[in-house]
Amino acid sequence: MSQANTFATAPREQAPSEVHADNPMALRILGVVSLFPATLGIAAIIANQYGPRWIGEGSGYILAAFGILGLLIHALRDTDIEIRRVYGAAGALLIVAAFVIGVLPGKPEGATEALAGYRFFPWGAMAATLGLMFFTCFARNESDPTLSLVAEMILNFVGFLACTLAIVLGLFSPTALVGPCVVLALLGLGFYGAYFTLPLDVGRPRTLLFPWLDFESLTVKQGSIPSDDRHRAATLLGILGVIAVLIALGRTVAPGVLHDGPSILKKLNQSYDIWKVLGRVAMIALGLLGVLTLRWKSWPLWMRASAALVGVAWIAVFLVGSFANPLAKAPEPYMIPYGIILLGIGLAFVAVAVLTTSDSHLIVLTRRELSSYFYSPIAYIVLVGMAASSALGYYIFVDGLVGGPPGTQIPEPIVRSYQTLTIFAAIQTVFLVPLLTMRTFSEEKRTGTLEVLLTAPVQESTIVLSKFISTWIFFLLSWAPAAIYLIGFRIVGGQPFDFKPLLSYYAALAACGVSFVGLGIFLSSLTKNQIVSASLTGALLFAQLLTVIVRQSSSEFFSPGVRVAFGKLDYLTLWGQALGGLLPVSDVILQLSLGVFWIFLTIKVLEIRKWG
Amino acid sequence: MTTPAIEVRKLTKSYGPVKAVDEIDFKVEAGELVGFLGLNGAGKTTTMRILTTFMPASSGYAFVAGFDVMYQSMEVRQKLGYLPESVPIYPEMRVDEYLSTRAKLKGIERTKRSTRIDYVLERCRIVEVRRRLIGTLSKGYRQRVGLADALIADPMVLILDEPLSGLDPIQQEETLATIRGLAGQHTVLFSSHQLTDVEKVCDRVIIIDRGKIKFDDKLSRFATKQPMLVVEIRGPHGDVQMALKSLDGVTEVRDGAADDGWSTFELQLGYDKDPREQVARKMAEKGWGLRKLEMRRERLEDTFMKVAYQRA
Repeated sequence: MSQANTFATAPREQAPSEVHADNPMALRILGVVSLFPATLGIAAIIANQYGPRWIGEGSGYILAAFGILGLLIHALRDTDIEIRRVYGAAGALLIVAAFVIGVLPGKPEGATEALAGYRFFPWGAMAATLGLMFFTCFARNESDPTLSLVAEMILNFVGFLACTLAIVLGLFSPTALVGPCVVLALLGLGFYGAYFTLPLDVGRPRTLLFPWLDFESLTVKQGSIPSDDRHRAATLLGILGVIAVLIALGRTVAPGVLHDGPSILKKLNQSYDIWKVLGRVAMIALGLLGVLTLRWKSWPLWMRASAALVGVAWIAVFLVGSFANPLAKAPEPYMIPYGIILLGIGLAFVAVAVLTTSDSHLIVLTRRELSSYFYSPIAYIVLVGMAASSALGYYIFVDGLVGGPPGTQIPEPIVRSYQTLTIFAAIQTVFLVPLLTMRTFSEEKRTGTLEVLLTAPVQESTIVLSKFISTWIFFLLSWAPAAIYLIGFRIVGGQPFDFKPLLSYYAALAACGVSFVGLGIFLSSLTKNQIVSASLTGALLFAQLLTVIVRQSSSEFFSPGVRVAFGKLDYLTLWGQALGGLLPVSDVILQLSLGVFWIFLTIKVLEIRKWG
Repeated sequence: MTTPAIEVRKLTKSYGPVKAVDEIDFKVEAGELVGFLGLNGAGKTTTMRILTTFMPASSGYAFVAGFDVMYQSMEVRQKLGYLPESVPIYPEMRVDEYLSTRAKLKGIERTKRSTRIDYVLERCRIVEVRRRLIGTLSKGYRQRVGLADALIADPMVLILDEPLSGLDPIQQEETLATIRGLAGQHTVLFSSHQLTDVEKVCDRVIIIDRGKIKFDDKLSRFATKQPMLVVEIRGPHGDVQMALKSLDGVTEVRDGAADDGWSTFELQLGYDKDPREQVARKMAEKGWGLRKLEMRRERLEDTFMKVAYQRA
C-alpha cells in the first residue's frame, strides 16, 4: 500500500526545462531574402522560354534553386501560424498548378497538333515536387486538428491520384511507362512518403478514411487488428501495386499463350511433348490455387474474391491456349522493355505499403534502419554527392553525343557510349559503400545498443537481414539521380532511344550491390570502430576493382587460371557489358552468392558471442 | 511447486584467464525483489548479461522462468525486461517512436500498444518528454526511457543493472518506489551501489565478490539477529576483559582497538539480554573510566564492508 502512496503523492511530472519557441527573426530574414532570388530565377526561366533574356536560363535555375532552398528552410522551421499557412497555401497552389500544367495540351517543337500532358515533364513534375515540399512543411507544423486532417487528406489523395495515373497511363500507352509513368509513380510515392512519415501522436491513431478497408470489419477472424488511417492508405497503395504487377504479368503471358495455341505443346512430329504438357498443367494448378483462396477464411472477402477471379482468368487463358489459338497476329514482346517497368512500379508500391504497415520484426527493424539514415547527415551528403557526380558523368555523355559533326547517326544502343557511367560508378562505389555500411554494426557495438537489440526477442538473422535490406535499398536509391537524368534526356530530347541496356546495367548494379553491401556489413560487424570498418571496405572494393587489370593484363606474371578466376570478380567489365546490352548471368549469380556468403558470415559473427 | 523465476546452478564465466563468475548458485522465486550487490568488477554485470542471454556462460546452467538461457534463448528473451548498465538507446529517435518500435519488437499487439506506451510513460514519469529526441535528454531521463522499455511488454522477470545511477535524489526515490511496486507481479533482480536504498526496497540481498556469492539472505534476518554491545573503557586491559566476560548475558568478548589507555571491546550478547546497566555499575565499582556504551545492530553496510575487507 505504501508504495502505491509514494507513487501517487510524488509531485506532478514536469518537463526537465522550460520550453519556449525559437526566435524566428533570423529565419524570417532568410525567408524574405530568399524570396527575391527565387522569384527572379523563376521569372528568368519562364521568360527564357520565349526568347533569350538578360539573365540566361542556367543562371535562372541556379538563382531559383538557392532561393527555394532558403524558403524551404524557413518553411520547415518557422512554425508561426500565419507563415506556415501561407506556405501551405503556396504548396497547395503549386500542386494544383502541376495538375493543370500536366493536363493542358502543349505543342511539341515541329509538331502540328497539341499533345495533352506534353508539358508535364519537366514543368508539371517540378511544380508538383516543389508543392510537395512546401506542403509537407506546412503539414508537419500544423497544430490545428481540422487543418492537419485536411493536409493529411490532400497528401493522401494526391499520392493516390499520381500512383493510379501512373498505372492507368502505362496501361494505355506502354511507351509512356519509360518517362511520365516513372515520374508520376515517384511523385506519388513522394506524397505517400510525406503522409506516412508525418509525426502522428502514437497514442491516438485516427480512423476516418476508407472504412471499407478496415480489416477488423472485413475479416472473420476473431480479435483481429483494427487499422488506422495510415494503415488503410498503405493497404490501398499495396492493392494498386498488386494490380500493376498482375497487369504486367498478364500482358506478358496471355497474348503469347493465346497466339501460340496448342502447337507449342507438341514436338516436331506433332506428338505431345510430355514435359510441356506437364508445365501447362502446373500453370493451371497455379490458377486453381488462386481459386482455392476462397476457402481461406482469415482473408477479407474482397481479397479472396479478387484472388479467385485472377485465378479463374489465369486458368481460362491457359485452357483456351491449349486448344485454340484465337490470336492470329504475333504479339509484340511486352515484358522487355515495357512490362518490366510496370512490374517495377508495382513492386515499389507493394514494398512501400508493406514497409509502412507490417509489424513483422524484419520490416520494423528495416524501417528503423532506413529512417536512421535520414536522421543523420550521411544520407543527404551521399545523395547530393551522387547526384553531383552523376551529373558530371551525364554531362560528358551528352557532350559526346552532340559533340560530333552534325548529321552523324550514332548506332543504337547509344547508351553504350555512356561508358563514363561505369567508370564513374566504380569510383563512386568505392566511396559510397563504406559510407553506407560503416555504421551498421560498428556504431551499435560502440554505443552498446546492440546489447539492447540482442536481448529483445529478435533472431540474429533478422537483425542482420534488416540492416542489409535497408542499406541495399539506400544503395539503390543513390543511383536514382543518374537514371532520372536519362529519363529527362529521353523526354526532353524528344528522341526515344533504346533504353533496354540501362535495365540490364541497373540489374548488374543491384546484384553487385548485394555483394558490396554484404561485404561492408560483414566488416562492420567485426569492429567497434567505424573508420576501421570503412577503410577496410573501401580497400577491398578498390582491390576488387583492380582485378580488371589482372583480367586484361597480357603479362606472364599471372597464369591464365589466376586471370580467369580474378576476372570473374571484376565488376567494371561486368557493368560495361551490361551497358552494352549483355547481362552475363553467371557473373550476376556470382555476385549474388558472394552477398549471401557475407550475410551468412555476419550472422555467424553475431552468433559467435553465444559459443562461449 | 512453481518453477523459480531465476535459477542459477554452478554458473561460471571466464574471460580468458580471468574468472569473472565462479560457480555461483542462487534461486529467485517468482515475485521476489532481490538486490544484487558487489564491488566494481565483482561479476554483477557478467551474471546479468548471462541471464539476459547476451553472453554465454563458460559452464553451469542458468534458467529464467524455467527456460535455459543457452538453448531456449528466444523464450527467455520473451519473458525478460532488461535495463543495461549504461542505458544505450538510439539518440536519433524520439521517445515515443523508440518505445513503439520496441513494443513491436517485443510482440505487443497493435490494439494494446498505445495503452501500454501511455502506461509506461506515466509510470516512469516521462510523459512530458515523449516527443523529444532521445539524444537531447539528460542521463537520468534516458535511464527512465530505458526503464520504460524494460517494462513495456509487462515481462515476468526484470533485470535492472544499476537503475539508480545518474538519477537525482527525488528521481531515485520515485524509481525505488516504482521498483517496489513491481514486486509481486514481477520478479526483479537489480544491482546497485547504494546500500541504504537497497535496504529500503529489497527484502533479499545477494552479495557477490570476486565471482563468488558471499551473502544471500533476507534482510529481515538482520532484525532478529542479536545486537552487539560496544564499550570503551580505561583500565588494566586483562582485568577489564575478565570483568566483562563474567557479566550475565555476555557470551563472548572481542578485543577491539586500544588507544591512549582506552580499550575498545565488542561484547556478543545472549538472546534478549541487555547488560548495559551492569557494565556501568561494574566499571564504577572498579573505578575504571567508561566513555562509550553502545548497542549495535548489524546492518547491510557492515556485511558489505566485511565482505569487502575480507578481500583486502
